[in-house]
Amino acid sequence: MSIETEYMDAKLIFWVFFLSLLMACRTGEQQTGNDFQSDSPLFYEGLAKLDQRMAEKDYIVVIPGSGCGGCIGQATNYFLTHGDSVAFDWAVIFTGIVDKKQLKINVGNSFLAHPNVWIDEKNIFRTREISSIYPLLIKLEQAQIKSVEIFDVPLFEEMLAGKNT
Amino acid sequence: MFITILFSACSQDPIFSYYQEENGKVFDEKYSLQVVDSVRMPLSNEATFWQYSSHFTETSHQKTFYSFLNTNNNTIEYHQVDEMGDIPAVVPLEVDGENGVGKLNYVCAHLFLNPDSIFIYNINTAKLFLVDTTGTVKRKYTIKDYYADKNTPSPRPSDLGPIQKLGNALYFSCSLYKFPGDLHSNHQVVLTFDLVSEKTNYIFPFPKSYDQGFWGSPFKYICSLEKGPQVDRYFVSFPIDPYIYESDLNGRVLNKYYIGSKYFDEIPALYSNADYGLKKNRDFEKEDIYSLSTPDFVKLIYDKYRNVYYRLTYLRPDKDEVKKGNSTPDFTIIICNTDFQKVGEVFFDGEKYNNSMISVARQGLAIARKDLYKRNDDYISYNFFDLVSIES
Repeated sequence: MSIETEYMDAKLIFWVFFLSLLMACRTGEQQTGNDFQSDSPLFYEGLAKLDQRMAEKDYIVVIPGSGCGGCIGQATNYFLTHGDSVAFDWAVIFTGIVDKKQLKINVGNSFLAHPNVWIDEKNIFRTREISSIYPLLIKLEQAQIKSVEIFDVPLFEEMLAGKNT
Repeated sequence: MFITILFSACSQDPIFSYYQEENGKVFDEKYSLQVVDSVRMPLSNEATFWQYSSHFTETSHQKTFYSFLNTNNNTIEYHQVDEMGDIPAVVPLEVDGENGVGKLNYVCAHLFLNPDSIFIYNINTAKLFLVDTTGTVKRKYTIKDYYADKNTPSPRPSDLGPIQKLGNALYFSCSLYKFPGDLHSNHQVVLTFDLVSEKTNYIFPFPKSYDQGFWGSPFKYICSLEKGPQVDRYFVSFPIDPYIYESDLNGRVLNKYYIGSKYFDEIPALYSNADYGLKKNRDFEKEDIYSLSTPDFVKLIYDKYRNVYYRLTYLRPDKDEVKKGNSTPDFTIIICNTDFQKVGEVFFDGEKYNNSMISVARQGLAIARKDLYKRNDDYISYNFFDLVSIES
């Protein structure tokens, strides 16, 4: 992120943040921020390379290292604080991580050591067909993708409650 | 007359070319840069390599310090390079209260003069603080009132345009206060702050090159300031302009010097219409890809130990690479003597060296090694480069 550090004045930052929040909060016609291809074999190949046990999960949340900052923070914080109370079997994959030490500082060693958390160090899930600038919530059934949504706390809790499956 | 008007209306003004070969591709190559020393400094558990405000400083007692703002925990980490310890020294900065500087993030900056005098600029509040290594706030200044001064540029210091101290004043490079394109109102790009009178002043307008087209993302409009050997003048470099402008302390241009790169020709504008930035329906993706795939002049550095200037240029990946997500540029450092005659240009691999953590120390021109951090994230390492003569 060197950034070259691109400047946005306070007003612009506000609007970008606001629009990002708006987009993150969209329900109904969800978008994945790009063309996530559910029929692509790359997702399953990625799971197999990272840890085949993940295919048995109910939900996989893929969190990118950069992109929609507010959305990434929301998804990370949800599993940091609520992960252990989620009744379904879930997995978090951090991908596109530029600096593992920064990730450790942000989420703590204990979270990274959690049995449901993986780091995609080879950036398999940054492959164009299956990546996004947003955290993605992928619902699996019998090791097959049932749905792909941008992760959103109210939506996820509705899904957990069985209201939106 | 009608025909003349019609004719002139139909003809498109050509973009004025600033390109020249002399002192760009054609120059008397006398020097290169060679690693003569290196330093490996321990990082705290809460600090990483990626810094946006970091530099080496030599005090009047000839002690060399390296410092950076650690926005992970609102501190400054520093080392006395000549007497390296096993752990970094840490200046705790409070957020609130008498010694509060606010919550610092990556767009904030600092200027480490010595352990008793460290300036911190918090861009979020436009406040400037003078602190010491205990974290005590010794002075507090308001640089700008964001609510009252909506139509003035804001200071935007960074590693690529660090805060400069000239006499009793601090000089800040500024951002655009409106979108690019609104450059015809004598938009000034440097803010000066007098530490005694506590008055601010805006000086130095955009050069004419910015009237020749639209240059993409806002970072293409932020200048780099540098002081030279004389106390009554400073120098300004702009990302898309091959000239370096010499100015007096009031922003009056005294001279300009053409200094180009041997690796690229004239930087093309995205659009020939400078007012494009005022349009409502802009293609921001196209602007981003253009901005990250066209070269630029990034930073000007004066090396008082070797009495030369360095001009940092970015050689950016092509559009296809940027679209794939690879926007890391390689870079070059152009070497000029104090008459701004180009005497060398050295290429650096952007995967090995950090392209913004570059500053001057007595030991040499310091450039951070990002490849070494990838191997061991407990340390931050720099190579020091000295000038070496090239025998003709």
